[in-house]
Amino acid sequence: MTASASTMQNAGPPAKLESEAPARSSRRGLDRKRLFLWSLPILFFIGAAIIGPYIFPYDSLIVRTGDRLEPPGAVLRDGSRAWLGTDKVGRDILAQILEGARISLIVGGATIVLAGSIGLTFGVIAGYRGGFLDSLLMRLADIQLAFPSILLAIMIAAVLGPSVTNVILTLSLTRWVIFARVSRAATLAAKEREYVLAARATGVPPPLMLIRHIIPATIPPLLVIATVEVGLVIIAEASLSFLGLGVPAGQPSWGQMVAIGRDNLNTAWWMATMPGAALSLVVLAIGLFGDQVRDELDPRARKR
Amino acid sequence: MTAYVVRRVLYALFVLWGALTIIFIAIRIVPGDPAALMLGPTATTEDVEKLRDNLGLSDSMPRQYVAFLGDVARLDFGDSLWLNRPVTKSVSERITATAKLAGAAMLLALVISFPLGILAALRPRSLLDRAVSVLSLIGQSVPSFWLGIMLILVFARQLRWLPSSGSATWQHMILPSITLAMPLIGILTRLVRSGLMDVLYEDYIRTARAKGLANRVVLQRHATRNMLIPVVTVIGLQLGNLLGGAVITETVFAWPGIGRLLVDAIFQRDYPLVQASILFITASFIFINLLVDISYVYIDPRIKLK
Amino acid sequence: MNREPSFVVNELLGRVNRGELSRRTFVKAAGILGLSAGMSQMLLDGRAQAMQDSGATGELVIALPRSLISLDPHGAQSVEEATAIVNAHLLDTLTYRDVETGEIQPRIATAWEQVDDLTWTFTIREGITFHDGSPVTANDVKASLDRVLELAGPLAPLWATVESTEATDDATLTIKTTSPTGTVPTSATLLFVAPAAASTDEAFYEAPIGAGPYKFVSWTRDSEMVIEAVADHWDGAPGISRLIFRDIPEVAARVTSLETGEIDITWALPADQLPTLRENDELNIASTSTYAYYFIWFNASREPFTDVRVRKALWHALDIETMAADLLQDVGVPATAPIPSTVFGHAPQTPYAYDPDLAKSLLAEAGYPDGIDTHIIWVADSGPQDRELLEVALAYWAAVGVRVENREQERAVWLENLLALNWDLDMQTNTVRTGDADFTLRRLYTSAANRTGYANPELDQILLDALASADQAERAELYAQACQIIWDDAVGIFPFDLTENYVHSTRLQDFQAAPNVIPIFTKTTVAE
Repeated sequence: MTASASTMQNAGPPAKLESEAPARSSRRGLDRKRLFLWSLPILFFIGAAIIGPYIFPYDSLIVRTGDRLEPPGAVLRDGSRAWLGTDKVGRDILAQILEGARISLIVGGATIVLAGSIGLTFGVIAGYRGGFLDSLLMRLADIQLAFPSILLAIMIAAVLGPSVTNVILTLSLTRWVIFARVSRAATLAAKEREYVLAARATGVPPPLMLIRHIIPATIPPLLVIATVEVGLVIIAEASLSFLGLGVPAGQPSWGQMVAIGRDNLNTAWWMATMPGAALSLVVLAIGLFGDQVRDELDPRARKR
Repeated sequence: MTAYVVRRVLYALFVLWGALTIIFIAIRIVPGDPAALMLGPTATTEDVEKLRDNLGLSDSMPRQYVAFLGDVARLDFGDSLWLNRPVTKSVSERITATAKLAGAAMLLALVISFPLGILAALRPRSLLDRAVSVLSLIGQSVPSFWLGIMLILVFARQLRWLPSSGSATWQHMILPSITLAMPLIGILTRLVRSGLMDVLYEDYIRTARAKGLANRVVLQRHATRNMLIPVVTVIGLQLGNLLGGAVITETVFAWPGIGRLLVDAIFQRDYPLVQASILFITASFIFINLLVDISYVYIDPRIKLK
Repeated sequence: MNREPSFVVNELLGRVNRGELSRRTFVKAAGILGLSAGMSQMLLDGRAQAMQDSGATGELVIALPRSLISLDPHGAQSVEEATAIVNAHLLDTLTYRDVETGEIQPRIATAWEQVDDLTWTFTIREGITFHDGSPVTANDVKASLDRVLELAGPLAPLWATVESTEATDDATLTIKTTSPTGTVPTSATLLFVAPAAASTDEAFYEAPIGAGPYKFVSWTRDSEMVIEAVADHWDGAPGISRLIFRDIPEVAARVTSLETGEIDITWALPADQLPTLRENDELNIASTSTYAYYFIWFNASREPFTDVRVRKALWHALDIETMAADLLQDVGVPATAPIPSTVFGHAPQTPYAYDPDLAKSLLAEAGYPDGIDTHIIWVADSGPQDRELLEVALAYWAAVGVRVENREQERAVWLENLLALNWDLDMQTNTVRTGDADFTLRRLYTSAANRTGYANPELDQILLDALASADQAERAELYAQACQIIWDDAVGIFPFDLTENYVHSTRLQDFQAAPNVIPIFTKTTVAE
């Protein structure tokens, strides 16, 4: 889909991570204060998504065709002010953006958890067991990567109908590969460590082995990937909605708002500009936070 | 080396077959009937049946699959149902358009990201370094569909400097190339910077510097080579993806590329066109990655492909 | 001069005419072939003279609202407007419907006659040729019709009753039908004629040779198509020597190109863009009611829409006047029948008043005092302001207690659901391609068609009688009855007829706004 924009932006980090081998988790403890500071913008958005709709309520069924296409700051007929303007049926853009924030955050969060779990499971199994199962899972991943995610989105929407859940499903199915690759690489490295080799020699059963030694080693690199991915997933959701393949009509999504606003660039620039700006800022905030997480978890990066 | 390439090609054929088979089944399972779509909502059931027969869609799926594999083996991809012409013609036209755009975007990204990344790496923690890292993050954070629309708003609508959509002249390429290049610039700048940092502080570079070699020479002789491997990998992956068509950018700028063709073909349930587009997209992705792997040997002779 | 060079000179002159060669290069090339500069100049002047005589001057740049993706006039894309517009100039049709009177007029056919109930004959215009000089005969027309039938594309259903076609002689085409078919001359307005010899060859339609007033020059897919006036066309030379169809799929880009003068005409612009364009002194807007209209169907095979009171309640709940004024503005007006007012067979009906109280009481009467929960299926970009109209309709329905879930679907999925009657409500636009009520009423509202689950034997009979009859007055009367039944039974809500606004530069003159959205530029001129 956004083949260029999203699928591949993640090509950078994994390549690098694999070459650097999983980060030995820093023994020095995290610099929590710094991380907290950098997470403030994200917390602001999460807060806005949760509380915002109570302050600026949005109801798709309340339309005011007399107040349509009013510019930002306009005073409407009922005396209220549309801070970010109104849309083609007179609904407040700000209220829609806040409602859309919920969708973005839900989809972003849920997809990371789902894709991360699938990826972790497959990656650890493939890495730990090796052999045929490993080849099979990795070939599956290759085919998946070569397969355009937009097609998957169309198929899922066509078969199951458009819904937020199905968007999460679609995005998870296109995203698990990256998590699988990273956790497989981390597993391979962990397997060779002395304490793991020792534990193996003493006959610790595989399930216990995985839970105690292997999975913990995969967590730091997965967290780094997750912070990168969550921004990409939010963009991917917006991109799907932009193409009309995302969340169902009636539920405002930033991508869909930009798509609708695009046809009105000549007459109502704010319709496409405002939701896109919100989207960019959120993703940027996540990216900045992600950089800090990486610095914390990757001692080599920290040195610099 | 030869054995390696042969094995990789065989593997590529396997992945191609896998992708094609999945697509073949998937596009037929999905609700929607190409014949009904062509005739529209006023057509009767008999009209639709007649057209289905005409298009060879009435056969059972296994039968169609066998026929399809036979045709592919003979490099015959059939006629598009929707355009009523050989799919290879449409696909090759669109590939040309996509390749032009991908090439321009990649060139732009390289020209900008290398100097930026190198400058940042040479002065770590400086104001310049920080500015570059924030800028590259912005490049990756702004969604391409919105960036494209904003570029249209400013440069086509307000300033009227550039055309907003279409593909008639070279000016039409400017805005979509920038849109496509932005995330690439973001990734490549970071990669160049961190790759260079890794090697700059390694012993042999320090030695080289201690020996009094000029910064420029050190960079050229030693540092670049080591930095290039991850950069080339990412360039390859990205190029593969760009050739797969940047659906969003092509949609925003009405660029007649392969990505939009695939999406249109899917919406029309144009089976042969979907299959041929996927085949091309997958093949180019795999082929470019193969080239990348082979290029490692030339970048760093210590690497042996096995 | 021997024969050989003169042939080459002729060829070169053709290139100059097509704009592929400059006058200077021509003089140079002609010099090499032994022509004096004076002589070349004379030839060039002669050419200018010829062009002046033919009256064709200047060029017109047209931006089609949707991309031209195929020139094949008989296959899958045949009813696409872009394909039909270009082919109307390039190939020409057997007959055409006069924009003003609505009557069927001769084109390639000069006359037609229903010899008996099951037989139609068409007389082909004599002495006319295709652009390559070969004559147009009944055999070419037959081949084109046969191809329509063989490809079984969207035009084929118009000819569903055809049993056989025969070129009785060079000038006569005989069509036999299995049942009486009064719509044959109307269907012939969409029969594009291509040479029999070439018409089965797919590659032919990459650069077709036709008998129309314009001939093919070049086509760059996704970019532009150029056609050029035929000076000695039987219908007289066209007024503009070159038509350029430019592909600008994005609305905003088309508007900008119009404002900068890069293109001369475009249409299908959103209502919100029109006011600014109207103020532009260099642009004119030619508006016309079209054959296109909105409707919202009820699935009458499902509760609660089996009850006519529920259907009427949903209609009364909508303030159609306000929706038209606020949202559609210049692109639509409230409808007066289940077919647009421009279509043959239209008969005005009594409007359903906006009356939410009446709607509520009708619902209560039908046994739904607490309202109903239902859904509507539709496809994005199916008509002007579709999303907005739907959202406003949902709000109006909510106000009377009808909670409608918005199910936007991908076109392929929507169509499958629609045909399977797997829906409660359906919103869409439709175009009466031929401008004749038969095209939509019979194909959509008979029990056999079963598009909405509504079945009415009386209506079936009326529509079949109207198809069979060749007496236009009788047909009009029958369709008036059909309109009334469909309207009064509220088979669907028929809210708006659509208007087309052709926005064009003031240099384009004598432009006639076409209700079928297939504008013809043959009789237009451009002021330099």
